[in-house]
Amino acid sequence: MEDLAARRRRVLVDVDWLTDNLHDPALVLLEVDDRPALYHRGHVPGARLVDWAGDLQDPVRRDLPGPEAMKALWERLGITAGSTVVFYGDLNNWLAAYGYWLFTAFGLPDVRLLDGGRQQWITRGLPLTVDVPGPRERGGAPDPVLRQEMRAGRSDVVAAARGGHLVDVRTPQEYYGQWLSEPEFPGETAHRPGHIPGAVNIPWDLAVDLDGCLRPSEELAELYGAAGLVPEQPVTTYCRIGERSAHTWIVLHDLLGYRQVRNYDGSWTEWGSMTGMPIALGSDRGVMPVDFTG
Amino acid sequence: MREGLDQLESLLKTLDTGGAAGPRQRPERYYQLLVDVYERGRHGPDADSFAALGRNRGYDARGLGGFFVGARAPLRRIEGQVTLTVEGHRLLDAHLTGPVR
Repeated sequence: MEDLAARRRRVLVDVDWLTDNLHDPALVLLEVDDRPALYHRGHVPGARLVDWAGDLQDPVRRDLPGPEAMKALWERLGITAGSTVVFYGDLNNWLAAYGYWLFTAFGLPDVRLLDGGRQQWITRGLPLTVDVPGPRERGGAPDPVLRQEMRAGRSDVVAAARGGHLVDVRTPQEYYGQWLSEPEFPGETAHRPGHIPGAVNIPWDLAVDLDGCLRPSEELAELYGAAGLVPEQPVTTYCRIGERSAHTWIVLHDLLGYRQVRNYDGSWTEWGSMTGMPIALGSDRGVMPVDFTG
Repeated sequence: MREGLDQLESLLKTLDTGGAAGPRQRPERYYQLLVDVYERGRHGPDADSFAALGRNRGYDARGLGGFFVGARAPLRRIEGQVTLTVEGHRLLDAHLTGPVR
């Protein structure tokens, strides 16, 4: 079994690795930001902007992009089966993590995350550029096939709430039902506040150190283990729109080796907006009603 | 009476948004410092790092203190870390979506 250090080397790259590999033709460097305008004010040389709203979602339905759209995106970005795709972004890779999860879920073999994201690059005083790289040669993108075992639907969430582990990675205030969303991020919200009965609250950013990098793997293992999570048991993560929970998905599945982790991308905006859904309030986890099927 | 209250409210709003230097007249470095804080990620910079960021933008300690004052202050301190308030995020967005300088 792959140990924690080997997993970390496979999943994360640091700024030193990135500076050494910036000119590697196999590298596809992608920036995903909550504030995409930051990219145009300065980005890591060679990085291409991926728009979370425009590129990583279906343009019409509330859904993931379909395989055809994903292949078109990969072609546009010059991704081939031999590419090393590195994501990074603002806010400790909040949305970059979603890109990582999505590309991985569609079967891309070598996807990595710049540990610390924009923050690390800027804090180290490394150069930014406003030059947008030209188009890459198209052709050779693999066929995306969605690995459904990485994604949770409502019935998976109900099953996790009853017989597995359901992790709400939002802020405690959102979990308790005091906030519909973080006041600084009012964009996407739901009709009702609270949490899914049975969910434990482990905010995603507990996994991030003050310098923006992920905490050491041993500390992460302790963090989630202390909450009762076990690598051998299935875990489902959710947040508000599935991006913060993608960050925790990476930590659990790829860094710590939890075998079966699903990201509920519908998350609270789906659960808290539908009629008749069970909701728990306050710090108590609550219990999923026995007759509820999702 | 009503007129007097309106005048008082108007004056308070002016003071709250930086006095004579209203929102449109804030210097570029003011917004750049908000960007600097945002770029320090979810937790924001600690006090020393924030002071260094401020110095780089030409602010002394007294000038930096002004970022935390008033109901519409753009910055706040949480457990020693400096982060943007709701108002700070609003100003940041207005700045970022404006013309690139």
